Amino acid sequence: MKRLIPIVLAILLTPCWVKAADILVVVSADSPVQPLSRRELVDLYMGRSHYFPDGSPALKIDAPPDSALREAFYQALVNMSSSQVNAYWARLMFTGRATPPLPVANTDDLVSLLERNPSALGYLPEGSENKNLKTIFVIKESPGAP
Amino acid sequence: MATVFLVFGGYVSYLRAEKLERVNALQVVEELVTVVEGNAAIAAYLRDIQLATEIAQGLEASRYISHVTVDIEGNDSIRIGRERPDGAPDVFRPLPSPFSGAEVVGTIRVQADLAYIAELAAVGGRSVVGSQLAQLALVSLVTLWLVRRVVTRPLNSVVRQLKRIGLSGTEYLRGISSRSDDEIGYLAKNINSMLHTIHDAYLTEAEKNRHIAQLERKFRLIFEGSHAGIVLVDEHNQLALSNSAFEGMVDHLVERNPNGEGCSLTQYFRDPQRVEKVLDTVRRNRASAFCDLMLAGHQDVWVRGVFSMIQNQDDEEKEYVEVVFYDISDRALVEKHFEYGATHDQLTGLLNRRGGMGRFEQQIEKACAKGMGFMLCLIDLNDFKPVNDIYGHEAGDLVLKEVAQRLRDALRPDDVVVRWGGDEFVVSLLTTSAQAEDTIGRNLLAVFVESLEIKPGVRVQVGASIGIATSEGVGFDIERIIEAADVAMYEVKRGDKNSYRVFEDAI
Repeated sequence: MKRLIPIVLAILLTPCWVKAADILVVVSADSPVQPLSRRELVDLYMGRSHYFPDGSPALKIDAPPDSALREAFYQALVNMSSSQVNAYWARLMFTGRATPPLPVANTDDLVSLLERNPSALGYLPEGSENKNLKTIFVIKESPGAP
Repeated sequence: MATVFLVFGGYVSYLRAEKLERVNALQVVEELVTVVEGNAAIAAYLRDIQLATEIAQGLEASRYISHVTVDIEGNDSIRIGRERPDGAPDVFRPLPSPFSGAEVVGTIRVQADLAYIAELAAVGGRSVVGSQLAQLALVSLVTLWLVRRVVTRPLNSVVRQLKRIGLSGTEYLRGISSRSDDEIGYLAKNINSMLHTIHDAYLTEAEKNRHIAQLERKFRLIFEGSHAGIVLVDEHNQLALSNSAFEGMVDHLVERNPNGEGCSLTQYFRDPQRVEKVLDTVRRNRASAFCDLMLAGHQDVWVRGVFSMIQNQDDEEKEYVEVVFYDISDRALVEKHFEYGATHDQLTGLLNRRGGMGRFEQQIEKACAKGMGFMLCLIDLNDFKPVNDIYGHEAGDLVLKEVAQRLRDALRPDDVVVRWGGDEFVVSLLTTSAQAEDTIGRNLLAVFVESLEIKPGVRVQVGASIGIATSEGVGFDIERIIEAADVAMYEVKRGDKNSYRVFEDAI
């Protein structure tokens, strides 16, 4: 929680000052979704929650499987590598209840997908955002990670 | 005792084995839970009933586990398997969120199949105890066999051989053979040497005993078989021992003492005082003595007793007198005894006139038979009376004894020397040549040449007048021969005295 306070402050007061390596979690600008807590974000991406805290369904978009962005995102969020996350999902594949986030081919597809779908949730490296997108969480680049 | 120990030991090791089995089983349950714990946490995190059920079923499939409960936070519980009434889980694990260790998303509770584990433990314990008992039995059997082979059998063999050994046999002793090199072999060797020592000692002893028995038999034969009566008399003149010959001798004399002991020797004789005296003399002089005694009773039975001292080797105090009795009342013996006295002169030991007459007859018979001559010389001592008168009868007796001895020495053994009476002697002999008279006469005169010592330093001279008669001159009639010799002797006496003369018809 101590770490979250400066992050929230940074998002609210100086959105344009975020550091170059940070990852922004974004939704469509039209979405009613409010900024998320870290736990809510983890629950969404690791398959525990299928809905935003306000009850609206969430369409989770993943970066391309082999991208550095995906690696950096999961490392920072749950301290797992891309392959560990793949294994996690592979284990759950047969039960059918939890479904992994929908991967996209490249970052441009991600942006256009988010712009078009109000229930979609995705993440972008800092600097790729535009006015059609709304940042609901900022993940500080963990030290030493690419 | 061994059984109690065996049962107790078996029970203890059964308990240990059972406990070990139980702990092992519970450890397996723990490990199984650990294996599925991660996946269970994920299932709880995702609230994935399906996944949780599968995990629970997987666990429950283990034979050690009877019941599994997976509780999902804010959701239902999944219960698989039969739950024990007490409900206490044997393994309980909280399931943390895979992404945030602080958050608990569920729990997993597992009940072990205790009945099965107990059964398993019992089987395990039994098998451990069983194998231990089997091992024990095997070791015992092997030990028993080894003991039998190494100890019992050689020992038994030694004992069996010992039983067979007869020490009393005279044949060579067969020792104990043992093939063992151990203490039993050593024992057998020692026993052998001991047995041989004993056997040798036995043989020596047996030989000694045989020897003694033989000696004893011989002595008994001498003692019991003797015709002479033999007795041992103690210091109180009591019979200590007597043989059957003696008993036969005296049996009829005295009322037999029933206990046979304490009979006095003297009671058997007509003159007990004399017997006592002889015994005392023998004891005092420690020398043998003999004496003719008449037994008590109505018959005149003479016995000659030879009394001798016997020194007892064991006991110096006890002295015995041995007396050997010969029965001399036998007619021939009596006659011989009396004949000696009747035919011999007591002083000189020569024949007396009576004895001499008997021998003359024998000589004449022999001379006639063999065609030899018979010669008789009558010797009358001269100057003997003065010796008797001056020096006494003892001196006279000495002279007579000396003359008798010189005559014996001067003649051949077959010749007869007779004390004819007083100071007269007669010598008779057989002749083969006609001219023997002068030789004999001179030889006889030579007897009187040397003086006789009657006491130290005192010598006397006696002479002899000798009359000789021969069968050639007179014939073989002994009366005539003696007469002729007497005549010749008086011729000499009247003449030069110390000379000899042969009777001739011319006289």
